[in-house]
Amino acid sequence: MTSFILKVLFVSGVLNILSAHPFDAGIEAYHESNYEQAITHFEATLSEGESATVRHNLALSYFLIERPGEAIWQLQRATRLAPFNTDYRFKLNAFREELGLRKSSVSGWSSVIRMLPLNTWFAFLSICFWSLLAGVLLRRVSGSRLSSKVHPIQIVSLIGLSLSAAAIMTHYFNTSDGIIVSDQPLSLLYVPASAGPEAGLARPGESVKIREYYKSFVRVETEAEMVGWLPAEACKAL
Amino acid sequence: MYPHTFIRVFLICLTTALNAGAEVVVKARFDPPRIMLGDRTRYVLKLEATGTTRKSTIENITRLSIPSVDGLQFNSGARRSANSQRMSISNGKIQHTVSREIIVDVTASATGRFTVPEYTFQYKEGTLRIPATTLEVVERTEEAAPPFDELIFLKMDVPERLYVGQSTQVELKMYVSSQAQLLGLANLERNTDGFTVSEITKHQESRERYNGDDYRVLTWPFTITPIHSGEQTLHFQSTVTAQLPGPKDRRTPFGSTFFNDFFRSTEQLILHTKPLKIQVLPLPASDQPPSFNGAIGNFALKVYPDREETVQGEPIMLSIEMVGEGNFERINSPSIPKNEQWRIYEPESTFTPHSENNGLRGSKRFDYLMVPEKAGFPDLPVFTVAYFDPEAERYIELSAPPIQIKVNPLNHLPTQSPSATAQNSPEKEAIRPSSQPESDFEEILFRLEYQKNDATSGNGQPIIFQTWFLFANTFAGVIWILGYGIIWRKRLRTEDPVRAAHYAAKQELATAKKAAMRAKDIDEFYRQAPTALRLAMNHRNRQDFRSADSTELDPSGIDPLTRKAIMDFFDSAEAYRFSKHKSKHHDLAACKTRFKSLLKAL
Repeated sequence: MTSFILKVLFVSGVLNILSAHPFDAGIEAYHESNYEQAITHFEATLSEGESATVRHNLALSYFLIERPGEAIWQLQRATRLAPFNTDYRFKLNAFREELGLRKSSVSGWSSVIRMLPLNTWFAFLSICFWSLLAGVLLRRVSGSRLSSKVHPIQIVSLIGLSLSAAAIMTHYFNTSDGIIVSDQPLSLLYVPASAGPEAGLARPGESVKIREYYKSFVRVETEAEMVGWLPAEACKAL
Repeated sequence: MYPHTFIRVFLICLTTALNAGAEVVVKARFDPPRIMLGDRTRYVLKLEATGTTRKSTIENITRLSIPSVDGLQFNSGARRSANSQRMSISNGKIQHTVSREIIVDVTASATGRFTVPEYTFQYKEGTLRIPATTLEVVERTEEAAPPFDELIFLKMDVPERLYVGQSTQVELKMYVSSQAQLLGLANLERNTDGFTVSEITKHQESRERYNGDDYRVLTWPFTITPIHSGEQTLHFQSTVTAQLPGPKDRRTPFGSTFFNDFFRSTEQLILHTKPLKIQVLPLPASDQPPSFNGAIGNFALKVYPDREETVQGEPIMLSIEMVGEGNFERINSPSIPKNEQWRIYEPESTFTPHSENNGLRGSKRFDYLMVPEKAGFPDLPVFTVAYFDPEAERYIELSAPPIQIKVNPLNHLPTQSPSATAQNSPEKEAIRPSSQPESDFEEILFRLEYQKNDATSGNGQPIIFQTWFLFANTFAGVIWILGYGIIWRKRLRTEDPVRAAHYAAKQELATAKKAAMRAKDIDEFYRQAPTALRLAMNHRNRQDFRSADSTELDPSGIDPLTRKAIMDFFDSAEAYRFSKHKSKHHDLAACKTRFKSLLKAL
């Protein structure tokens, strides 16, 4: 009887562990300093949907196994998913400083567009569009002047429409950003060939603008405004 | 006569004959021959060659030794020449005359008569005799115009002594009296052998009081650097066109001031500085330190790296900056002794002047790219720079304190930002991978997030492709279109009376039809149904049949059978309504059905 109970407990424990959410398993592995295992669990969590928290935890895990380039990429994704989170930005700048990079500066306009996620901008755009359309065209159709209370709504709708359209366009233009995920400084090449002459240096964790792809190479522009080719696996698009 | 004698005589005759066609006449004069003390005159030497058979030429005379005369100063540095030609026909013979004038400016230091004695000089293969000429110098009268040396002149102050390579700023000034008017200014010419001279840019203008008179002063600032030792001379000259005043107190019938300008002379003058001599000393060689890099002046030294920590193989930039006053353009980069621990590249230099007008004050920086070969704390080369201080007349050595650079091995993250200087807190420790953070900062930095309820990207699919978003927008579009249609029709009804009437009629028909169909007894039915039929005819024909009698009730566009049925209905209704004895045979339901079919037909 006792052995039966013990077996039941064992099986239920195993089942419990097996059914443990990968996110929690990742946290547990992290606290046990088993960072590779933590990365495996956190990445499994991503299959349910990308999450800023998961990206953040992945960033810490990667940094602790001395893969700073990948860590910075994960944190950059987290800041894009949660633009209001100052903790992520603080840690991103701390990691960048460790790698000898300047603090990540965000332009005024980038701060504005990152106030809301992309989907929220889309929803805002559609709301502003319909309300503006209603205010402008219905007035024409009805031939009557609208109430003065409607004018502020129209103005707000127009501003919102412009702002959200610009933010969405900027989002899509900025998808050409990337991060050097290599753990070592890499030589930028003038040509997409491994024996090509060197054009400069790309540092781990450095933000780059991806210009074009060719076979297994990618052409980037670094923060230091150097342009050259790198192996495609050394650079990961945001 | 022997043949060789004959040949000799023949050659002499031939030469004589040839020379007879190119006779050179030399004349000398002072122009003008009489001047006042302080004025300038010109010593003109004229060589004229006249030929009958062919054109003669006057060779350029490069050496002319004019005998010195006490009291006269010949400005040989400002010698110039003028050439002319002329052809004349005399008694049917053509004569070609070529002349060359050599002009030298002369000034006198005292009054009296001065004579340049006769002298000779070598010309071609012979000698020419220059006749004596006399100059008379008289006292300056009060009514005479001031000498032009006081009206317009060049002046330049230079130091008495310089060292080879020592740069100094000088100013060439042209003083133009308020009584003179400068009309034109040619380029400055200079004789500065023994010096390098910086670019002489456009002049600056100012006003100055000199010897009790007001002057307009044109100043050209530039830098000179002697390149040879010994006594070196500087000389500048400029050709100007100026309007000088006439004699003072010249009276006219119309007054002295208004017509004074008519008596001003426009002259082309050659201005030149007095001989400027500078004693140039060589730099002392005996105690010249090996670190001397050509710097002469007064300098301070700064040495600083762009970072204090790096990784093996990653370069740093070491800057050596000399700040102060001196000959920056001649300062070479300090040489760096070879060092096994660093791979050092040739530097790039940058000079930053403190002001645009003075290129002697500023700072010159040499940037060395240095790559550490090994990890650890490799010794940076010790930098010593020596310069020569001309005022102290000795060499001064400057050196920088030793700088420590931490070089981390490869595959190691640097523990400090490359650009960090004094901004980093000294208490901040290096962040190392550790399961147990050693400081609060590390604890904060590596703290996980435990709540996974933050923003997500929704499987990465943008909202515009999601079903609910598309549905919501489609619904909004449909609502909008419907609303648009409704408001549009309402507006049309409001603006168009015909349409409004039509609409009103339609509304009235609906009401009447409803009332008729809801009638509970035949009386009420026959009250409402004819009205509804009339309104239906109104709606169809857009004509008001409400008050029409039976003969007028003739809706167009319907078949005769339907018309007859409508008429029969009206007749039945009237017969029932106006009969005294109401018949009970009227079936309400059948009447309603009949009514409906009539409405449908309309």
